[in-house]
Amino acid sequence: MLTPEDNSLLTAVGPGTPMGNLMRQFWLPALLESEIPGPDCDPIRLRLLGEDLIAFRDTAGRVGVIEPHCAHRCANLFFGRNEEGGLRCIFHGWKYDADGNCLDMPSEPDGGAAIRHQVKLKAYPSTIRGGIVWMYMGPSSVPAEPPEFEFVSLPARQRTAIKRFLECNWAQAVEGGLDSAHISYLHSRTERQARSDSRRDVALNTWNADRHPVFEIKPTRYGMLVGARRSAGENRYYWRITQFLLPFYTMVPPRTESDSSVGAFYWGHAFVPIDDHHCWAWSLSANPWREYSDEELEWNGSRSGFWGPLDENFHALRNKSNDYLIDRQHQRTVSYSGIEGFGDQDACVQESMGPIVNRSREFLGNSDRAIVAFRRQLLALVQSGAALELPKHGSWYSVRSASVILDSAQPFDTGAAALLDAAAREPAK
Amino acid sequence: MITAEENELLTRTGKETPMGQYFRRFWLPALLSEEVPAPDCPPVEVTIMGEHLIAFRDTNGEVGLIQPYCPHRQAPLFYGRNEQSGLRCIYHGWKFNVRGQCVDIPSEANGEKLKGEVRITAYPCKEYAGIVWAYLGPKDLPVEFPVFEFNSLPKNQIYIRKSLLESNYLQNLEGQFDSTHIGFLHSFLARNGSAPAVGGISLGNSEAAQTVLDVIPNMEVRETGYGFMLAAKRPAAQGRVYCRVTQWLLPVHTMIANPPGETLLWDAWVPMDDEHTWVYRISYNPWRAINEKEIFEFNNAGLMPMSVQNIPGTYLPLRNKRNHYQVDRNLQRSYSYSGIKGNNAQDAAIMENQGPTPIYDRTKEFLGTSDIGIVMARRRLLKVARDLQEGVEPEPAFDGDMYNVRPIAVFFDNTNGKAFYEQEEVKKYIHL
Repeated sequence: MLTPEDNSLLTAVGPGTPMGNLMRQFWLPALLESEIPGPDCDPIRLRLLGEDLIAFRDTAGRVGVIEPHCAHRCANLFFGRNEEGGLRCIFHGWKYDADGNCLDMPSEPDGGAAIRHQVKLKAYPSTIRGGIVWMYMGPSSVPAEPPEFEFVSLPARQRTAIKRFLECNWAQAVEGGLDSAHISYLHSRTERQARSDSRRDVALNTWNADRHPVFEIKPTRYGMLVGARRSAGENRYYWRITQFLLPFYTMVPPRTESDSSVGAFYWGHAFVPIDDHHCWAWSLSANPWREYSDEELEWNGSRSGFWGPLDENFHALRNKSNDYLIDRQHQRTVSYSGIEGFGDQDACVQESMGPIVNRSREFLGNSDRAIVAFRRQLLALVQSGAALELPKHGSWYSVRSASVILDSAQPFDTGAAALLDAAAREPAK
Repeated sequence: MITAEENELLTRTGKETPMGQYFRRFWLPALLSEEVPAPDCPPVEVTIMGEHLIAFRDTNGEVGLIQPYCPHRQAPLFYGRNEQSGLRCIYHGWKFNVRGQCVDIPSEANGEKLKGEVRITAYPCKEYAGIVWAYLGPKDLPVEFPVFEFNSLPKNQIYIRKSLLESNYLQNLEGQFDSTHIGFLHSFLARNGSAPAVGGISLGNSEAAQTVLDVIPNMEVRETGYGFMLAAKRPAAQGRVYCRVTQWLLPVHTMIANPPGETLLWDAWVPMDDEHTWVYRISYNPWRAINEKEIFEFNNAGLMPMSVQNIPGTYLPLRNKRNHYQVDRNLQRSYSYSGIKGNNAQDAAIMENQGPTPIYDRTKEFLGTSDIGIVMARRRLLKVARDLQEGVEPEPAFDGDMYNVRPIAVFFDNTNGKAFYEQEEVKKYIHL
């Protein structure tokens, strides 16, 4: 439970807000590379942290992210001509480069040579890594580095990235990602159905067998490590171990048929604020062990795969406006929610809390410990107002999630240490 | 650039605002005659300067523009029965004529006596050139109807259309004073496909068209009693000057030039409310009938100037904000500067997206030398609105003859020492 003041502090990310300032210390995932696929491609609209922007790639392939309105008379550069090293306003032909400098004012004498230098549009630095356009919206004096998640440096066939528009505040989306307990309910089959399902899947069977995981939380330099423990027979625990990485990343544990997640791919999410009432839910995956098949690439990383179906703007076809196409008959007989996809099930609960959930009206239990820890950590950072060390160390993001069965005497962080370290490509048995 | 207060004063035209009071000194287009096509036809909803009204044509063919709610219990008159010289409320049968007089109260025993005490708001209307004009100002002011040339032209020499714009009136009006943007926004690429910026403008290959390729005209404003004349001058062959004069007539009328003999264009940028504008557009030719080719281009040929293409059966543009004006990026790369079809849609893509707010924030801009017309229009509007607050009534509202002018586009000899506006040809053409 939070006071209304703390709730605002946690959720508001516009320019000048404390949380907005914190977010602006980090490089943020802004676009899929495929949205601005090549030199002189169509410029597109982009909104992050409550700021409207235009993104394009110039003739040399350089990415520009600039404010959307021409300095002259505020015409929208979305309609601009992207050509010959810059974006040209269609109103009077004023032209800007990827850094927001005005290159040409053809409607003024001598191309505005005498006054061009007075004009500069706001522009944010960006870089393309791992199929994603990353952007930095913070002060230029800070030497921030993009996070070095494992997928970023993997070959294209060993990683996937897809995003989905969510109609709710980023923080409740993160909280959904941290909540390991809901897996046994929201994403489950009805009990009758579960019994008749294949018994091969350790994870599925364990979720359904023990619906009261015990959470252990360890603060780390990147955020925190969350272990969710379920009983796996005598003196053995089934651990699903995930990370929360500042400011909005959550990892998903690998699904595996064996006792450990060696050899399994894993997912992570980023919940990037569009504004206070909307966010992008990114689903990223890494397979350090092998290339994905075509089918797996499609399933993990396309609009029609696991996180979809999505339309051309990455808005879900099953969404708030059509009640996620809930099927009540299916809900009675087969699935717990009656809603088709994992992503749709999550979106349903997160969006239906309201655009910003009122955290002064809730009743948290033992299974919500990770959520409480997340809020405390972020509020403490925001209230301290200090510059963070983490954004300067991209390598601190080099972690993996894990699923593993451990002896009950063994602490989860040391027991799974090798599994959790992305720098170790071949972890010891 | 102006202050936030000035921007508010300039852009808001609701009933109680200074600019709204100024606008209400003038006869303005309220709807097209075709919207109320025949006696006793269905009434229609009209919004003008933020006022919601109902228009209907009575049995005698007279048009009324009245308040939308019955004074009895505020039932909507839009659903009323238009019959036997009046609009009858369907709730209890109260009936009103085009002058707003209550002519029947069938639900009351003493209705005959009572009806004399009931009046509703009704604004006077006149029909000229296919437009129903209305006067929404104070009664008893001796305002005059503007004597536009097209008012008295035969039907086949004028062509009218209207369309909705989803932005404040002023930014649309300002677009008319911006001769420079034509060479960019409305232009085509050179045929070899390589050169950016301006190429063969849609006016054809005449000398005039070629001259407009000079995208940095010398702009000169001459203030007049009715508004101003804005001359865009470009040097032409043999020491001559090509001059296009746009007329601005207070408060919201503009006239765009063509050479003598060709069809001219009049627009009125009428505030629907502070965030929407109705553009009324008349192409007229004082010398001959509008021809079939022109009519086709006004309605269809997407790349021609002055075309308006509405969703059939409505006055809402086909290419609009919700479909990104159907911008075609391949067309933008290969053929047209904007990639948007139709002059009107090209302008709308700018005006409806000028800054993040529906009313363009004029504290955030960087004006150049080419924006002189815009600056002068703002100054004038601020002055006349403030004057009226001091009790100074606007002169052109009381002198309809002032509106009997034309725009002009001519080549003239710059060597006889006379100022442009003193040239015989110009004087003869402009003032009728």
